[in-house]
Amino acid sequence: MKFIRYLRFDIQQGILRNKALLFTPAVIAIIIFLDFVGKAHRFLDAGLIAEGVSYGDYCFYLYGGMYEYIPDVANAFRFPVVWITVFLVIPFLLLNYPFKDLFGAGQQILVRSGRRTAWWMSKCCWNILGTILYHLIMQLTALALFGVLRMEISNRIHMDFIRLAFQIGHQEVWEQSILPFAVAFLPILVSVSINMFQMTLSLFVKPIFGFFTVSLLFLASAYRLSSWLIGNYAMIYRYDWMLKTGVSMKVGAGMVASLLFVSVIAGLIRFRYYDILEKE
Amino acid sequence: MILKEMLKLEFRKALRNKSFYISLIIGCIITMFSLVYNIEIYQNEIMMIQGDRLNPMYGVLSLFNRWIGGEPFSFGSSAYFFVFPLLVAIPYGWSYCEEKQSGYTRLVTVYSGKKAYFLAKYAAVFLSGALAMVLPLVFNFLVSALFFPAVTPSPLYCTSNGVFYGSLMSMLYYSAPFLYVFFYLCIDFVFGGLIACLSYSVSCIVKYKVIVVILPLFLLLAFHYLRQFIYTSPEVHHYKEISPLFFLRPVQIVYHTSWTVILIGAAILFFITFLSIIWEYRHEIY
Repeated sequence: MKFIRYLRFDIQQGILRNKALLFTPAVIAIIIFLDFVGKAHRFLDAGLIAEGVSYGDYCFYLYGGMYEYIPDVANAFRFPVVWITVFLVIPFLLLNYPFKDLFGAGQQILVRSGRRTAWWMSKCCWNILGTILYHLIMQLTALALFGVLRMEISNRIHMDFIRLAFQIGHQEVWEQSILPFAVAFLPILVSVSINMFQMTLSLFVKPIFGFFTVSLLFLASAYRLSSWLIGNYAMIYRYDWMLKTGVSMKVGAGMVASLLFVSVIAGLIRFRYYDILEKE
Repeated sequence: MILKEMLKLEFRKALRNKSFYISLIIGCIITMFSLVYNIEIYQNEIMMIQGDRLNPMYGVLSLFNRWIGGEPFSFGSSAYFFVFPLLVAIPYGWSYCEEKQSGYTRLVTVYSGKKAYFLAKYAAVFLSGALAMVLPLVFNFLVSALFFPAVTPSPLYCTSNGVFYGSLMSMLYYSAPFLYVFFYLCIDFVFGGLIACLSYSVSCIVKYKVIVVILPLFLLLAFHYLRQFIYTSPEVHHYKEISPLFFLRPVQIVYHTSWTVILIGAAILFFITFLSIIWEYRHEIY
C-alpha cells in the first residue's frame, strides 16, 4: 500500500470524520472570544484602555501565555488557564486515533501491506495536519466573530490592554504595536512538535503517560521562564520580542525543528520493533 | 452477602493493581519536588536568621506552611494540584470502561447481579481515587515533618502562611494546625474519590480508556475557566473560590472558599456520578 493511500485514509478517518477535532476548537475559540471581548469592554468602560481591541490583541490573548513567574510566599502560582486550555486540548484530541487505528482496521492494513515506515510517516503527517487545522479553525472562528461584530481585523496590538490582561507589573517589556506573522506562527509550530513528541512517547509508555508528560511540560514551562522548556516558545509574551529578558525566537525555531526531527526518527525506529499484535 | 463479596473483590482489584502503585509513585515524586525546594528555602532562611540579631521570626518557618499543601508557590505544589485529576483516575477510573469492552461486566453480573456490581465498582473507584489523592499528600506531610518544626503558625505572619482572616478554617489553622491539615486531607479525600468516579460516569458514554481517564481533567479545567465569567468585577475582592483546582489546596490561591461551596460541589459531583451509574444500571448491558 502506498504512502499516499495511508495518508488519504488517515485524513479521512482521523480528521474529516473526527467531529471532536472539527468542533472543539470552534467552541473553545467562541468561549475565549467572549471572555476576551468581555474583558476589553470592562477595561474600556472603566477608562483603563484608550480604544477598542483588534484581532491582533485576540491572537496575543490566545497565545500570550503568562508573565514571568517569580516564586514567592506572597505570590501564589496561577497557571495561565487560556493558554493551557488551547495547548492541552489538541494533544488530547490527537491522542487516541493512532492507537485506535493500530488495534483496529489499521492493524489489518499494516499486517497485509507490511509497510511500517509508511504507516508511521502517514501518522506523522496526520498529526501535523490535525494540529494546524485545530489552530486554523480557532483563528477562522475568531475571524468570523470579529467580522460579524464589525470589530477591527488587523494585526495591531494595544499594549494598554495587554498590560492589564496579562497583569504585567514591573516586568520590562518592549512597547510593540504590531503583531508580526512569524510571532503568531511560532506557537503553532511548538504545538506541532509537542504533539509529535507525545505521539512518539506513547509508543514507549502508555498513551495516558504520554499525555501526562506533556501536561507537566506545559505547566513547567508556564512556571519557569527558561530557554530549555519548549513551552516557553509557545508564549508570545515570553519572546524577547516582547519581554526584555524573554526567550529567543530563533532558538525556539531551532528547538521546534530538533524536537520534531528527533520525535519522527525515534518513533520510526521504535515502531519498527513495536509489537502490534500483543499490546493494547 | 453478594454485595460484601463484590466489595471485597473490587477493593482488591482497585488497590492491588499496577496502575494504583504507579499513580502513587508519580504523586510521591511530584511532592518531592516541593519538599526539596522548601528545604532549600528553609536552610537559606535559617542562615539569614543566624546572620543577624533581629527578630528571628520563628513563626514564619513552620511545617504547616512548608509541606506541599501549605505553600502555593513551588513547582511541586503547583504541579500536584494541577494533575491530580489524572492521578486519581489512573488507578481504577478506567476499570468499568475496560470491563464493559472486554465483556467481563456481562459475565460477572450473571453471578452477582447488576446492583451489587455497580455499587461495588462505585465504592472501589471512589476509594482508589481518594487514596491516590491523599496518600502522596500524607507522605509529603510526614517527610516534611522530619525537616521542619511543627511550630503553631502565628496570625502575625499570615502572608507567609497563605491563610488569612476570611480563609476556610483559619481559626483552626492558627490554634490547632494538625486538625486543620486533617480536615483538609478529608476534603481532598472526598473530592479525589468523587473526581475518580467522574471517570466511571464518563465510561457509560465513552468507550476509550484513555479518554475516560483524561476527561475529568478537562471538565475541571473547563469549569475553572468558566469561573472567569463570574469573577468579572475588579473591585470585588470577596468572591468565593469555586474551582476544585484551587480550593482543594489547603492554602488560599486567589479567593477563599467556604463550607457551602465545598458541600455543594461535593453534592453536585456525587449526584452527577451516582445518577449516571443508575442510568447505566437501568440500561441493557447484554
